[in-house]
Amino acid sequence: MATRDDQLHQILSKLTAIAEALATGTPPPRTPPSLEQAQTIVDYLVLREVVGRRADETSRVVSAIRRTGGVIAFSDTPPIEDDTQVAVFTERGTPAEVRPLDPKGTPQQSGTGSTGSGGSSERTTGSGGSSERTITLQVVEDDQPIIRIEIRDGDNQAVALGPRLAAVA
Amino acid sequence: MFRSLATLLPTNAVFTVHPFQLSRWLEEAWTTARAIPEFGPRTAGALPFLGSDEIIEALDLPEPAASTVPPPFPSGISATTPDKFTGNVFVGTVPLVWDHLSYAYLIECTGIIEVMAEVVRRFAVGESLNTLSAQGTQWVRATEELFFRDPPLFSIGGIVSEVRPDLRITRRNNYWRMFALEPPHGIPARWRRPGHVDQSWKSDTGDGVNTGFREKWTELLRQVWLGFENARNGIGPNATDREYVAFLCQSLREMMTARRQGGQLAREEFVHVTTMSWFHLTVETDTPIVIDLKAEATNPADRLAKIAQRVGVTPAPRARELFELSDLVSSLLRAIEVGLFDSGADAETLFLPIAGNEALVRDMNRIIDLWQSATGDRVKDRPAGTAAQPLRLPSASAALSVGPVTAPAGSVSTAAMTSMNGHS
Repeated sequence: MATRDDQLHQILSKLTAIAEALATGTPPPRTPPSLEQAQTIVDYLVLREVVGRRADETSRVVSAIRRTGGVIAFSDTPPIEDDTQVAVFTERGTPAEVRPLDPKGTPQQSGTGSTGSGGSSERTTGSGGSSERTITLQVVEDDQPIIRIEIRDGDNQAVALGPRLAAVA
Repeated sequence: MFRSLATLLPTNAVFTVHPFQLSRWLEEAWTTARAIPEFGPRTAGALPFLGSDEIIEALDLPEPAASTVPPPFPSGISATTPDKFTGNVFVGTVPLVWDHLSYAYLIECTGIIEVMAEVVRRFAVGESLNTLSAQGTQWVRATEELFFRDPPLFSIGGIVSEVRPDLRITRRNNYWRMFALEPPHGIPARWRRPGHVDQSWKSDTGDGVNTGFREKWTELLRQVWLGFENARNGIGPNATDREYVAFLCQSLREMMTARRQGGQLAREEFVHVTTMSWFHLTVETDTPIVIDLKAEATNPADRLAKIAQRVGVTPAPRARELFELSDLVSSLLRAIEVGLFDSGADAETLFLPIAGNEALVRDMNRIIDLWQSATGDRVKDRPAGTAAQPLRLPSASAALSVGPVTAPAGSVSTAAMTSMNGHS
């Protein structure tokens, strides 16, 4: 339970924000979203994009390629950053695993891959080069379809989604 | 979908792609929905996207058995040289899915399909319009072959047959089932088939009509507006009820997914929204056919009005709002349908200033403005003497109730929107 001092501090900070807003003519800052709200907002933005509307600033849809050996590769462009975490879902609810990006330049094996563009499976060669970043799954097996890939920022909040990825043989 | 394809090709190139290739591309566009990620993963018990995880695979073409086997009848569209045939499936970089059925409904309400049908007819039977450019001729040919004749055999667009011979009737039937709404204009006498029975699209729908859609949708917009009004209210009485907003979203979701069980209406929705997207794309900019018809303007509604005037059809006075609404409502209803706003905390993202939700709030605000203007529903004001919330919550069972086979009083079709469209 909040103490009297805490309450006074909260009231004071609110009053200070109001005073600053009045003085500068700017609205008070927006409330930070909860993890669930961030997920909802990203889902909505992705839905807008996949039905064909242009993204406002940055795209919330990332392309991905899945390779045998538990590797998923992304283009090394925003919103993929060094501190990105990737949540991988194989069913509704909680993610099957959340992985950080592999260190840059991690060598990858060649293998059969699946893209998220809706086309047929295709054979790809993993390079692990500087133009892509990868994660290596530890829990999800190659024969498990991935229904959702969530790109999360350093605060563990969802910022983008990847495609559904079929199992790879 | 054609608007999505247009973004992947050079300007106006989509109108120069051969209709055979466009027809094959529709098959590929249907398949791309396989890659759409799961949305709203926390929504327990929500139906999967499109009502079934299996509907795409159930209706798509078979995949090649081996990498050496070519795919069946690829579109062969080239992103750089659209007049060439690559022999391959056209693959974009990210997954795409078609718009919600509401998109097709709102675009059809502008009257565009009847205007364009008359344009194509005039070019086909006489010389009452301008001489066409080569690109204009390509548009007329593609439009006639893709949308005003029976679809190719065994294609995903093949929803015309002996059992449902008229696409105009089929569209109205689908709008009626999903929203209990119909376009404000009737089917023009020229296009009525022998034995046409007015309102026949309402026959044999069984229990499957969402008669409560309009009421709940308008109430949702009112409650979100109430949320906007109180978003910065930290001291006075605040009638905003996030749980009620969530309940309205949930109620709309249950209603719409009831119509989608087992993937019902997915294929029909695909056909209708792709059809409407072609015509929307046609007037979205000064395309070759728009220039040929001397209908250049600064927005789709004005272009449509000029074209309508050329062929003697009265355009929809509120077409401007309807064009803009179509995109916004489509995204929002898709989001509601997958259960994104089923909890109070999630519903708050529709109206509270939360970091990251600027686009969502902007979309909601615009939908409210445009819906009020297009339909005449007073969303921003509650009727005098009424409370912030109705006494009774909307019940999910209402979604399944069967009303008499007549348009509900005050529906978009029978009330406000009838008067804004000059079609008879």
